[in-house]
Amino acid sequence: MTLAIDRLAQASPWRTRALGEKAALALGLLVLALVLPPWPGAALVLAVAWGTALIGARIGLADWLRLNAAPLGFVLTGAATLAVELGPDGLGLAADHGIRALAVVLRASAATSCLLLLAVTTPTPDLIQGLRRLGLPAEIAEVALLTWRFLFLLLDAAAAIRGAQESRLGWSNWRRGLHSLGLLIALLLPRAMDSARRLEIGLAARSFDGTLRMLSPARPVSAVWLGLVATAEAALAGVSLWLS
Amino acid sequence: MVELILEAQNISYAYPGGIMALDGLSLGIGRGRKLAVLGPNGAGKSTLLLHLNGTLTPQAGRVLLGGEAGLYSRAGLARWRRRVGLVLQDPDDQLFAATVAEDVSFGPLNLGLDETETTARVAEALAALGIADLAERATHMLSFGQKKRVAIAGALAMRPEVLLLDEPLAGLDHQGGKRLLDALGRLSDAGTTLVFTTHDVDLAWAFADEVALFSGGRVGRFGPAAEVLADRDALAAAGLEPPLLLELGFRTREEALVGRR
Repeated sequence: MTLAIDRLAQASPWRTRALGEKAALALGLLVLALVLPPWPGAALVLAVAWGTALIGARIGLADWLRLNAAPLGFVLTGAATLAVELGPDGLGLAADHGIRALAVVLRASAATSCLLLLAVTTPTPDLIQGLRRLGLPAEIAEVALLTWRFLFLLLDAAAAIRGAQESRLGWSNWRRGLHSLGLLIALLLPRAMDSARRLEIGLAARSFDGTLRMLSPARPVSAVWLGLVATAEAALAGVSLWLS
Repeated sequence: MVELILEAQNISYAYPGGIMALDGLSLGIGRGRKLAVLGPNGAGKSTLLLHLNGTLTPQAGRVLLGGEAGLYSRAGLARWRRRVGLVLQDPDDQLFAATVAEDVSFGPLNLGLDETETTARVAEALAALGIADLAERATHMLSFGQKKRVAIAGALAMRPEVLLLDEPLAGLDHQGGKRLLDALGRLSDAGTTLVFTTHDVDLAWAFADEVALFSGGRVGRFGPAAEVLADRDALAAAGLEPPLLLELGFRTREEALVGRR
């Protein structure tokens, strides 16, 4: 899922939009999903988040559904426990006829969709840079950035090792698979250490002095965009309160 | 007389465990030249490059940069790396930033350049390697050949006088290798001194002005590429064979001599 989000974020037509614009939209909707009444407030937020992702940010429906599947699975499982009750006659529908469960499903899925909207349009490093501008200490931002970069190197290494094991029947049954997995994990640690050591040499060769300085492209926040987002979100809140 | 920009004098280096990588090696690198450090895998070529940019300190002997020795202080090393760039064999060991432009900007910013100058350097380095269109791409989504060129651009953006390249063509296909050599040729024409390690005699013959033949932890033979690579005995001592075209020439000549008798 992490890789799918990264792939979509890198290819997103909104990738080069200012982080502030995307955050205003997604986090604004998130706040509305949490504070407005679940019906019709959260339902409206859910519809707007899905519409924005599919039409505005042009995420494919199949990709969007796949990304939503896992969190939605958790939400539905949790809500199921609210929808049923154990009474004297055994298991039955809750006294509120599942209203609370529906409210949880609406609110949680709307909030998840808002966060996913930000995630599929913004690569992780941009988010880290944004947090850095908001005051996250440089050291933590650098560690997060390097961890993110290393993740892909380790995944590549793990895929290569697994391929080599499979080609020699290392995953032909459950027992062998488990044994191969153990070997793979044991191999990855020294590889990661080696890789880190070589990265240190590479950084030192470019005059690294303890601070990872990089030139991030300046992306000015559009006042028009912010105005439109604020108007749309205010209208959504108004409609929701009026209907409820 | 060629001015020596880098010089190794009798340097020795053994890795923990006693493996002698360099054993009294001496080598002079002329300014503006293209030098191939040629030898089989595991001969110590990469160890030599790490000495030539000050990453490793020789256990005996010394390395001179522009005639100056003992530059191992913090300030000295900073000066050294400003003048001598290093590109590792695996580009993933060098690329750490999210996008190509960010990664290439790392070196110039470390030199203390301002944003305007850094932006210009990044554009210049990417253009020199023919990858200006990759500037905004994520580094982990590039092909191996593209990563390799980005790694070189990262070193190049610091405008080093000497560029050290560890096995520059390793892992590249024919087209990728050719594009990279064209780019390196342009750098050389612009005055950058190039030192690259390789076990590929054909590459050394096609691209280098001079060849340092590695054998037993030292330079067994040094000289113009055409001379060194025609020395079959020296190549054999280093576990190598002459370039294919030269070998063909030798054989044709030998057969002609036999025929004349």
